[in-house]
Amino acid sequence: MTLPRPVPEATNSLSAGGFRELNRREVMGEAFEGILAAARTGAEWAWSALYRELSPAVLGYLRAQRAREPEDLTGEVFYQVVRSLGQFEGDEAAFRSWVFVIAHRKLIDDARYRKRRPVEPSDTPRLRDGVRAGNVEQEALDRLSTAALDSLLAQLTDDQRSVLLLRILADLSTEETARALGKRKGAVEALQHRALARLRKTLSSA
Amino acid sequence: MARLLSGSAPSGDADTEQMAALTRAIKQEYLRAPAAEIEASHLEGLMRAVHLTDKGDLAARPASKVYGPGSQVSGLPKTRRRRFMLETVFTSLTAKVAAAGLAVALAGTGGLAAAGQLPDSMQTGIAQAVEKIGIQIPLGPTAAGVADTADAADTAPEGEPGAGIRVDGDLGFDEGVSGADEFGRRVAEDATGGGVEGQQLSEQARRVAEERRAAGQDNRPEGVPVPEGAGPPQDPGPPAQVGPPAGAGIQNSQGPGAGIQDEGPGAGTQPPASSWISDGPIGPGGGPPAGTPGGRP
Repeated sequence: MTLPRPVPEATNSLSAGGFRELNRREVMGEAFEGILAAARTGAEWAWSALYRELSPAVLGYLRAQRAREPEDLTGEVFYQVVRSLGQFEGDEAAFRSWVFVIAHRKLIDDARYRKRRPVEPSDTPRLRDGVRAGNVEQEALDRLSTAALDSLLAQLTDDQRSVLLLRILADLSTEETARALGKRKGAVEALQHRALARLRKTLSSA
Repeated sequence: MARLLSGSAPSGDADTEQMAALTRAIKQEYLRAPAAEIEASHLEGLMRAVHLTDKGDLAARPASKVYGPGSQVSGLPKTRRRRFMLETVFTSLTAKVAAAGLAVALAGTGGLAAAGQLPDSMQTGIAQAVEKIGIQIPLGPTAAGVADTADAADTAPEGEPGAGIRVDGDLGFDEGVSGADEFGRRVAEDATGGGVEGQQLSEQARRVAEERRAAGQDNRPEGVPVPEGAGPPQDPGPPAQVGPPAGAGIQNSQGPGAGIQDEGPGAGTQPPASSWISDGPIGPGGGPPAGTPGGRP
């Protein structure tokens, strides 16, 4: 059996705040089939590769959607991926879309749970993420930036925000986004257009 | 749009550049790898889940028995439910058997009582009990004779001949004959058909009385009230009157309610027992036919 090529390191550029910035690209590419096959057999390295490739986007999506415990939900998403891997068939793009379908449904369950048991969100979401402490000044700027972005995204409807974040953070196509949300492609395009218009108007008025 | 969402925008377009900048900011802000500790924890959980799944075991056991057989899910254990069911069935079955047996016993007893086939004491007791509620069933053999005679004494008008004592034995009285009317009818029939003469009847009555006295019994059947003016049983002697009065049975000529007067032994021939039972026509008025000794001229 030919071992799959090792997964190349993603292009990481450290920001001044000490946080890694990931530029998404198809790091798995042709190796995806091999990695997926190894993951089906329970290979730890294959699961590590899949986790590291998708966990930032999954976690970011859940954070941007103001999930109660985004790290815990991230773990639950991959746990579900492990249990349901036998039912998946497709390429890397389909796999990515499938993972975010699971993430979106976990988010909905979490939102319903929060409605029954409302919990006041922490004033410092950065600390809940477990991010390593760095430059205090940069952290303050980032906190503001985070707050501003949160406030900006809060002006969108739930569907508009979901479409925008899946397109931006998960790098899903319109079709993949429609499949993840259970909507038609035309509906997703309409939601996307309205979301950008709303943001443009808000930034222009600011 | 794709480039815009990816963070790049055509140059010269301020709005587009602004939107592209926002996209980059969102990516930069939210696309963060989990902390090392969290990543290690997640990977450990994934491996645990992978190994459990490979072995075919569920990662989490069901909290209830919803996957079990329906009988177990229903609640009570089988043993307790079976015992409960057996107890219920047994109780109901026992009750049914007892009720059926009681019903059969009552039906059988009632039927026997209606046919007069129960023992004497039981038959009499039941007859007397049900008589109070208007149900007539035969009395016991002993009581029947007493009752018949009592009825005859009660129904016959005072002073009228015929209210006498029923005598059985050779005279051929039927078992169960009751009432003065029946007695009178039979007398009339017998007289019409050439039945026994009055003297013959008296002889027979005297003989029966002697037999009873010899056996230590009273002439009078049990339960028969003592007529007015009647004295103790008379010793056998010549009869004061020959033959029964008209339309009556054996009777004391000295007056109504008198006891049997024995005519003495050997007076007249003894009619056959069966001659008392006559199939002849009943005479007018139910009395003995004309010409019968002791009857109307």
